[in-house]
Formats: sequence, C-alpha cells, structure tokens
Amino acid sequence: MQLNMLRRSLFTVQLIKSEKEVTLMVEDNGHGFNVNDTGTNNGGGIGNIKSRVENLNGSMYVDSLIDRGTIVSIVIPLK
Amino acid sequence: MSQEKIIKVLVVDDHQLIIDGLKSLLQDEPDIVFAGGANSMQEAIDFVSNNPVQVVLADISMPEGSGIETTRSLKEIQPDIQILALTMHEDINMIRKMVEAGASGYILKRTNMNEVLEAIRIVAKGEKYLGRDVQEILLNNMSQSATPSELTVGQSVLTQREKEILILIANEMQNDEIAEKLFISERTVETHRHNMFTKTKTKSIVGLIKYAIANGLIDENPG
Repeated sequence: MQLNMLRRSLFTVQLIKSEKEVTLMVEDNGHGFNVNDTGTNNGGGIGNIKSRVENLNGSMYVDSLIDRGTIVSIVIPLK
Repeated sequence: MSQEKIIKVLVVDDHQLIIDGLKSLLQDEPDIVFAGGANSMQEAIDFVSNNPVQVVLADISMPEGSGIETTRSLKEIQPDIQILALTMHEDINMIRKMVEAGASGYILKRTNMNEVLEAIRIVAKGEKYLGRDVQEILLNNMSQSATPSELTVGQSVLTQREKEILILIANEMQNDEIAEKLFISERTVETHRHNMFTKTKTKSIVGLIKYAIANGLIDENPG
C-alpha cells in the first residue's frame, strides 16, 4: 500500500477522534478503480480490512472513480 | 481561405448530443471544419488513424477509455495532433492529468461557443489554452495551497478537499450537489462534513461558515 501511494502525486491520511468515534480517511488522486469490481480480484485486502472494521462495530466505505482517485473512510465507535 | 489553414476537428464524447451540437455550431465557421465524431476512445483512435485531424475536442468521462487515456493514445499515434479537453470536470487533478497526458487546452462544458472557437484556433497553432473558468480554478487552488507542506500532526487544519467542500457549503450547496460537482459520493461528502465539524470544533453549518470566514477561506462580503 505504501509503495502504491508513493507513485501518486497526492495523498492524504487523516485520523480524527471525536467524542463518539475515530475516523480514518485515506484519499489519493491516483488511477482509481471500479468499486463494483473488487469482489473478484482484490486478493482479499479490502474484504479483510472490512471484516476487521466490522468486528469493532465500525463501518468502512470505499469511494473510487477511474482517473479521479480513491477515498476510503473507516469509522469506529469508541463505546 | 486557403486549404491548409482549415482546422479539421474531431469531437470525442460518449454523448451523441454533444457531438451533434458541436457539429451544427462549427458549420458556420469559415476556418474550422467538423471532421467527425467519436463516441469512444477506440472510435477516436480509428478515426485519427484514417483521417487528417488537427484538433480533437475530448470529453474526459467516457465508459470505455477516459479522455486522459484517449489523449495519451492519440498523441502516440499522431504527436502533432492537438487535444483540447471539453469537460464538466472542475477538479484540479483532472486538469493536471489531462495536461500531463498531452492535452494542449482545457475548457469547461459550461463555457460559451465563442470560447470553444477561440480555444480551437489557439491550440491549432500549437499554443496552449486554458479556459477562463479553468484559470480561476488554478489560481484559487494555488492561493489555497500556499503552505509548502500539508503534513500536520496534532493540528486541526482542513485538507484541500475539505476547504473545497466548505466553500461549496458556503455557497448553499447540498450534499448531493457537492457530490455531483466533485465526482465523489454523497456519503463521502457527509464524512468530510462530519470530520470538519470535529476538526474545527463546530457543531453546525453556521459555525463552519464562521470558521471559514475567520480563516479567510471565504469572503465575508462576497461581491
């Protein structure tokens, strides 16, 4: 993931804690991908993270578009 | 007008209506000829491989090969060809990617026909053209990213994207409108909005707007 990100010209990682939750937001302006295609050839990466997030009662959302880049948001409740 | 000064234009857009509209608008121009239309990258490649074209008006969002890929491919086939992006994308990253791919110009679909004609004539001469709206986007972006590094730890600052969204919120745009404008999902806009409340320690849009004014992101007295 780090290597992939180094190829992008811009990426942002934010970890934001509020009273009720922690939000991790990762954005890049890379190639992007079709979110609907990830079920077949993702190597389990996204599914793996999603199941870990769900184990913490959190939610994960992947927003990506070809040529626009990708934004991944993970929200984990603190209580 | 001598034959060599006629600019042959190919219009690449997945929406046929755009192609038909430009065809009709270009027909009155003495120095510009509508050479053809293509609905996809492949059609554009086929056309350019078989027909002389000086300028390509290229959309960016197309289902089978984006305008960025199309630009790269066409420049490979015919390095002299001039690509002019004609798009609704106002994202600075899109502008940069098109220019990096080899585009000579970038104009927005909300521009008027006079600017399209001016842009075609300028890029046909081998010069560069950025639409007036595009120049404004670039200037705004430059002024917003004046700090050399955005790397901040333990400091509540807004990212470039959040500032962009905050300005749109201040312009009374709803989540769905912001999502459409920035080509992101409504859910991501909502997450950004929520993060901005946390980072700026505000609880409402009014609080966010006050923050934006206090930090010079928006003008207190626009106009």
